[in-house]
Amino acid sequence: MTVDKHEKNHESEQSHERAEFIEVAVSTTSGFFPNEGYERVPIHQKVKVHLSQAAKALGLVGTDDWIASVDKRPITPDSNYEQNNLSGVIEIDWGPSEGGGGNA
Amino acid sequence: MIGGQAKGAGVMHELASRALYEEEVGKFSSRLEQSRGWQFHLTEYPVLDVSFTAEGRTAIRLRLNCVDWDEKPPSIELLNLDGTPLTALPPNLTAVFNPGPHPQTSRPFICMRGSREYHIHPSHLTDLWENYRHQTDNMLGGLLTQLWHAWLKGNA
Repeated sequence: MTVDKHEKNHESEQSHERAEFIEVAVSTTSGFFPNEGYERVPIHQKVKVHLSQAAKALGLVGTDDWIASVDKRPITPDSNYEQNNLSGVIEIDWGPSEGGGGNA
Repeated sequence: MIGGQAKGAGVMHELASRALYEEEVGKFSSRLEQSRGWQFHLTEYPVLDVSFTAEGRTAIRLRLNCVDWDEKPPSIELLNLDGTPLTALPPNLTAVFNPGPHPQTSRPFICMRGSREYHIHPSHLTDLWENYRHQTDNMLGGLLTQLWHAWLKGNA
């Protein structure tokens, strides 16, 4: 194999690996998960898996109705990252939705 | 001595309120500000003063007065970015941002469970804060997040 071919294969492997994973952090008002930086997770993993880990790590309860969003766009925790059109490095904002009331 | 006991109990309550405030607000980080487009102007008990900003949107500033937190919900003032009171709301906000006037303040107000102005409004006197105060969603961070989502939902 020539050096060029070897380098191209190496780049292709790296690109493939990048496509298979995503770097994720979860942002809440109780803290971030992970506490610093991002965690590398499979892109075909459901978003709710990481949210569940975040809830456990940050001691969050009553999160069933919370909404998750990336760059202000709501995402679906029951779907995986690829199905949510997410890739690269992302921060998931996670918290309670718009509060009740508003009819005085 | 009844008077002395009452005074002592009051001091203890303020300490407990401050401790809870500081525990919750102490978790707010610069990373959170950067991530959500929030800007904290003051985080010193009993005041929590924050702006919500986002590209292409009219920013809004809220000042939460957390005296007696969490026995009572915070009183929430709507402000201009310079800290002066808002007399009229930016356009196209959701119903959580009520143009008022509120019967006690004569100003626009936050009409949402968890706002003192909501719970003391004649329309909501039976919707008691006590029923919500221990829920995660209604801690100070949860209330701010609810207000942020309400603000984002409007198209101002």
